[in-house]
Amino acid sequence: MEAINIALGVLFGTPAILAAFAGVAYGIVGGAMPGISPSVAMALLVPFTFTMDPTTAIIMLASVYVGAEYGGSIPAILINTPGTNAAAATTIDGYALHQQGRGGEALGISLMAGVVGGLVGVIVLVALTGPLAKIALAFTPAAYFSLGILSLSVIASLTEGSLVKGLIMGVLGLMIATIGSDPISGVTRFTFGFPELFGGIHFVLVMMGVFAVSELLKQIGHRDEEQVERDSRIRLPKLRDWKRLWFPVSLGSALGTFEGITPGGGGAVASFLSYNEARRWSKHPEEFGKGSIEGIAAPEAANNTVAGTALIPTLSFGIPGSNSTAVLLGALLVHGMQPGPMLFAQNPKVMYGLYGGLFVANIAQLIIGLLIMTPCIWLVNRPKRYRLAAIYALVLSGVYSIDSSVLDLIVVLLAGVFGYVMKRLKFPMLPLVLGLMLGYMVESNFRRALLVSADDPMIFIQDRISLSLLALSALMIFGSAIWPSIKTIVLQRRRQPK
Amino acid sequence: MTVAKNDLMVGVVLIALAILYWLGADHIPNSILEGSIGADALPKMLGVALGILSLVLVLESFLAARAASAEGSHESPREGGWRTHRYALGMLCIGIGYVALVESIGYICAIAYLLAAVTLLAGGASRKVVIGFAVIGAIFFWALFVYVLEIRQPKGFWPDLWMSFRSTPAQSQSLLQLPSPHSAS
Repeated sequence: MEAINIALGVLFGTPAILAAFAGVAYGIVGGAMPGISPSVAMALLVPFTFTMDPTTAIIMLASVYVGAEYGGSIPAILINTPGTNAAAATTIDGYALHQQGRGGEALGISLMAGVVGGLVGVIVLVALTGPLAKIALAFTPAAYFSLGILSLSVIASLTEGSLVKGLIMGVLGLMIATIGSDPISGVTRFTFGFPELFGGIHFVLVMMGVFAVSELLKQIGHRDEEQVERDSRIRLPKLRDWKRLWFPVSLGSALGTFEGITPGGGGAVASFLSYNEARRWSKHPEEFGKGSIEGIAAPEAANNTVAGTALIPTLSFGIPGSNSTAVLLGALLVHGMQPGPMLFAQNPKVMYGLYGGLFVANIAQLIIGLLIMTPCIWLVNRPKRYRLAAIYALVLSGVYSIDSSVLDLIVVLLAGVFGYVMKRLKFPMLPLVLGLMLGYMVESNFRRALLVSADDPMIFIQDRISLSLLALSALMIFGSAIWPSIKTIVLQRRRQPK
Repeated sequence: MTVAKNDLMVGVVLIALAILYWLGADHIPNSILEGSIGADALPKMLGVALGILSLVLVLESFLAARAASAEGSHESPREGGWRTHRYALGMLCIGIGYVALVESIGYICAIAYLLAAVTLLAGGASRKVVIGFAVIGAIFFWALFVYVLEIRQPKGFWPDLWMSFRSTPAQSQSLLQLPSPHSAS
């Protein structure tokens, strides 16, 4: 009851409702622009939130995430180009429906399935974050160190591509985090005489570089996208449609819950998984791929559920499972909050305000989703040259506003080049950002654990939670390393004639 | 160049980086505030970890390249190629230009330059439209950051120039001229 009072107090006592509406509107527009993923849209907004009250800032960023997950489906349906990775599954049946002249219906189903999925995500978030955070209270410094290692192992193992490349990026992130003052003794490291580096490299700069600038460097060489028809109108599903939609929406929400809680899963995996399962269980599987309304509802419910449930490991353990939640974690740290078990005790206003804000954001998605279609289509139709120029200007202006430092601009450009090169070489970016963010937690707890144990490294084995987490890390890495070989052997055996 | 060869090169570069990083960590001074595990402990561990992982990457890519050449398979060239890299380099140079200029010519002029340069690089717009977009865009960004969000951005030489115009001729002369060593006498 107290939590509800706090949430209502935040919603009606601060500009939180306005922030949720503004965040959703901006998120829908950002998500609708191909190339601007939810994480890029959020990263672009981070510098603007510095002057805001922390609760309003976090609600606004979380609302951007909610809005962007829906926004990604607009170009997916209208021009067969997903605005976000998570909307890729929506292109299959969404674009097919649009070609049949039912684009408005597809947009309406996407919106309603997204709203239902988003609300399910918020309910699961409220139910699970608190109990999980209480478990985290039993964690010692050794356990926190092992949790950091587990998070990096999980992300490196589950992100797309090579395990070794994922681990290398995680280690590089931790290495960047060692620049600046040592967390225990204050000794400066790898600063090369620059006093600006004594405080370390701000992860917001690296995030802006590897997510936003690298994307701009990639996009400038690509041709303009197809234009969206200007007369597209949204049409909400009718009651008889819901008789077919309730099951794929429920399925998508359930799978979105599971994938959101699992680090590295994310909206894209949840969407495709839901699409496949919806087809498997459908009474009309023959319609899938040719314009099935169930084929839109399931992935859209899934990726919008993930927007809520992905916050569970981020808020309870301080472990982001995706690029977008990594940006949100960064914003929490910028505003002086340490995610984890103490977040509820120290910042109840922010936590319960966030729950309320996310609820409002999902309602706002329904209202704004109906209203924003025309301006959104106008913006998506702007030639790419103007969009890229405006985004580049926004990135560099925002970065300078962090510390009024030209060195920050140089760091962002360097991070952008690094991100561009590494993406071309198929190195994943999330382990790098995660390593950078978790660097302080990993090192300070590593050193504290050793101080407590008089430099005895056995403390990491003697602590039961720490041992379990390290064993899980080893299992994840070992499993990911041998899984491709097992898969190849199984496939070869299946292909062999009997 | 194939993915395996690229990975091989990256692996070698990363091994060199791991060695340099470890050597850098070895030079971190000790503090009286720390125990036997000092500020260099984690960086050295990370240096070793990067070295081992890079070695694994080199071995993986070496074996993949050998297997590919044995099978006689050729990978298709990467998407985009040098054309996209050239555009990316152009975009980067525009950013570097902005960094070099912003503190001297001021935010509003630097952002106008950035908007115009990116639009020209992307191509397809007439010069009049580019100039119009740059001017309107610069005013919009300046108003947004400086007036609405009250975030300080570099002013450049404009305030000094403005002051020199506003002051009296004698004052402006003293502002523009360096003091003479004989002026005191």
